[in-house]
Amino acid sequence: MMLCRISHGDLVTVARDNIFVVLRPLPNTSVMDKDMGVHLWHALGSERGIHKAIAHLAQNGLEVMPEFVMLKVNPRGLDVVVRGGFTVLLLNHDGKYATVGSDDVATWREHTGLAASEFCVRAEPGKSIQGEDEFYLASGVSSISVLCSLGWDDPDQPVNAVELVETGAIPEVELYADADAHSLSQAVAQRMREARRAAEAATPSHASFSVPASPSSPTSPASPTSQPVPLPPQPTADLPVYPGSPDFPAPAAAPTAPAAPAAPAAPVAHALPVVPDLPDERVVQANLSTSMNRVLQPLPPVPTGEFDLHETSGYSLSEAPTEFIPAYGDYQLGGTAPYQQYADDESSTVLTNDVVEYRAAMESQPDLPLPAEPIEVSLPAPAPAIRLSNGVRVSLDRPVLIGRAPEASRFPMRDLPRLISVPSPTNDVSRTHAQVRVEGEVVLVTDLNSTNGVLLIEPGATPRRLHPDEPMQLKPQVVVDLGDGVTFELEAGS
Amino acid sequence: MEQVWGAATSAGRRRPINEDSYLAALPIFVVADGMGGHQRGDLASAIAIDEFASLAERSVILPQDIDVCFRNAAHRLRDALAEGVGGTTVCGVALSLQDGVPYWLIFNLGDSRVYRLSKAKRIMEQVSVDHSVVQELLEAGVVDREGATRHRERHVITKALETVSVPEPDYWMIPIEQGDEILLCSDGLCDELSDQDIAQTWASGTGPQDSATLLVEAAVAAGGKDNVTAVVVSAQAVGFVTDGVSETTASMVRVERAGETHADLHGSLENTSPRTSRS
Repeated sequence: MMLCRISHGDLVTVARDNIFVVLRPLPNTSVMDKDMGVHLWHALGSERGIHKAIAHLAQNGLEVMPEFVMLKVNPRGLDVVVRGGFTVLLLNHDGKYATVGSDDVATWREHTGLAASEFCVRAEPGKSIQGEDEFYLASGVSSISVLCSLGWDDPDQPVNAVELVETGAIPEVELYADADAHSLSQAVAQRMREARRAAEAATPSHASFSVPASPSSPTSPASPTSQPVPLPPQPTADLPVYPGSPDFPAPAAAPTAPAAPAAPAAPVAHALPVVPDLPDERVVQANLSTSMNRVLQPLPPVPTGEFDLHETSGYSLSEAPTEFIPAYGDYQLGGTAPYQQYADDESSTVLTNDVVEYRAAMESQPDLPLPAEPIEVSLPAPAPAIRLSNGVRVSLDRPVLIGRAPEASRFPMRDLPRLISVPSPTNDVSRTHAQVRVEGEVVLVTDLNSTNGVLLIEPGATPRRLHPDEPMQLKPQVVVDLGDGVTFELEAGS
Repeated sequence: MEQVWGAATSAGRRRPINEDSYLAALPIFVVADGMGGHQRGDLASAIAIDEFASLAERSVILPQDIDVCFRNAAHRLRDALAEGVGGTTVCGVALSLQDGVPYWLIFNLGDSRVYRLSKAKRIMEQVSVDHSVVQELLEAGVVDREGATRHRERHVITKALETVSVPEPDYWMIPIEQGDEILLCSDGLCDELSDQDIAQTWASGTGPQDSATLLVEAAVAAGGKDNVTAVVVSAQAVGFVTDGVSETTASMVRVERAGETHADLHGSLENTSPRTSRS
C-alpha cells in the first residue's frame, strides 16, 4: 500500500495496486485530462501494466509524450521508469540514499530491482504549486503536486521550507512505501496535526511548513521500523479511509514515530484512493455475478493479421532503451489494443475497419490527387476552454452541455459531448441548460430551451438574452449567466 | 439486499433455437439478437457479447469504451465470417460517471430496444430509436404507429453489427435518478406486447428479476413467435459502483465544495423553477 501526498498542483497521479505513476502533462493540454488518467488506470490493471501505460503515453510520438515517473513495488525491489524533470529519492535498508533520475535522455531511463525501503518522488525543486479545485473521478487519479522531501534528508539539497498555497483542502500526506499499517497511520496523523499547526501559525497570505534540517546523519534514519520492501498489496476490500475524511482514525496513544518532525517518519500505510474492483462482499446474491445465457463455444482465433503492440515492441523493462521507435504506424493496424484513439489523422496506414470506407471512397473517386510534396503534419492548436464561476475549467475539445444534470440524446460517437453538472440549489438552472461548442474559428453558445434563459453580459453593455436554440458567438470577456450564480466565460488566451 | 438486475430469455413457441444473447455483469448489460438464422447470427451475437464482457471488470464505463468494443467486435466478425453475411443487433446500458455524476450510458444498433421506467414519475419511455425501415417510414410520416406494427417490412433493419459496414450506434447519456429502471429487450418482446402491456407488466414486478421473468412470460403467452429476451437494471446498481468511487472522491469533494457529493444520485430531478422576475 502506498500513501500519497496530495496538495494541489499541476501534476497527474495514477495509482493502482503496487504501481504509482506521476506525470506532468504538456503545457498546452488540460491539467485535468481525465481521459488520460482513466486510461492509464485501466492500463495499469492489466498484466505488464507499466508497459501498457508507457505505450499509451507514447502513442502519438515522443514529442508529445509527457514527463513521468512510474514506480512498481516488487518483492525483489523497486522498478522505476523516469522521463524528464523528475527525481526519485530512495532510502535503502542501510539508511543510505540514492537518487534516480532521467539524466536528460531523449526517451526515458529504466531501473529494476532497486533496493529501497522508502521512496520519494520529487518534481523540479522550486516548482510553484497552483491550486486546482477540480477533483477527478475515482481510482487514485488526482491533480497533485508531489512535494519533495518534507523532512527528507537529501545530503545534497536539504529542504528547509516549502510554500503551500492556502486552499483549505486536504493537507498533505506523505509519499512512502509501506510497512505496518497501524503505527504508520498514527504517525501520519501526528504529522498532519503538526503541519496544520505550523500552517496556522504562519502569515495568512501563505502557509509555509518549515522543516529544520535534521540533525541526524543521513545514514542513520530515525525511523523505528526499517522494513524490507513490502510485497505487492492485495486489493483491499476495505474502503480506503482518506486522511481528510472524518473517519480518519484519531491517534489515541502516543505515536510511535519520532517526535522530531524533521526525521523521515516511519513509513505510512493507507491505501491510496483506489477504486477496488467490486469486492466479493458485495456479491450477496447469485444474480449479482456475471451472467451470460450461453456457454460460448471457442470463438475463431484472432487471425495473424492483427497483433498486439506489446508483443512486438521488443524491449523489456530491464533494458534501458537507447532508441525508441514509436510504432505509430504499427499501432494503428489491428485493433486489439483497447486504448488507441481513433484520431482523424492523415496517416497513410489504414485502419482495417476503415478499409470498407476506403474502398468505397476509392471507387467513387478514381482520380484521387497524389500529394506532390510531403505533407507537413503540425500539432493541432490547443482547444479553447471556458472557466466556470466555481473555478472549474472545461476544455472545448468536444461540445459541452451544462446544466444541473445534463442529458445527451441520440448522438454518434464522433459527436460525443462533455457533460458538466453545476449546482443550483433553487433549481434556477435547467437540467440541460446550455451548449458551448467550437465551430471553425469561433465559439458558439446556445440556450437549449432552458426555463429561465441564458444571459450574455458584455462589459459596458446591457445584458442580452439568448433566443432559444439559436447559437450565438461567445467572445472573450463576455460572461454567460445561467442563473443561480452560475456563470462562465472564455478562458483568457482561448 | 436489494436486487440490482434481472434477466430472462426464451426461445419462444415457434423457433427451435434461441439466438438471442445477453450479458448482465455490473456495470455493463447488453442484449444482442443474432440475425439471419443459420449459424451466422448465432456467432455474430456471441462475438458481440464476448467483446462487451471485457468491460465487466471495470468500475465505471465511458462512451469511448463502448465504441472500442463495437469496433473490435466488427473486426472479429469480419474475420470470422470471411464469406457470407451475418450480423446482430446490439443494445445495452452501462453505468457511467460524467463530472462525478452517475449516468446511464445507453447505446443501440439495430431494432432491439431500451426502455426507461421512472418509478418516481410513473412513466415509461422508449429511449432508443430503432434502426429499421419502419422507423424511417414513421419519421417521414408515411405510416403511423398502428400501421407500423403491421407493416410487412417491420423486421427489416437498416443498421446492425455486421460484416459490410462500420458500426455507428446511437448513444444516450441520462442522469440516473432514484427509482429508475432500464429494460433491454429483443424485438421478440416489443412485437408481442404493446407499450402499455410492457409498462404494466414491468411495473407489477416485485424487483428487476421478477419484472424480467414476467415480461418474457407475457410475450410468450401472447404468441412467442420469436426469441425473446429481457434484461432489467435498477438504479440500485449505482450503489455498488460508486460506493468505491464516492468514498474516494466524496471525501475530497466534501472538502472542496462543502456539503456536495456529486456521487450521490439525484432524487427525482425536480423541474426547473421558473423565475418570476429576472433582471
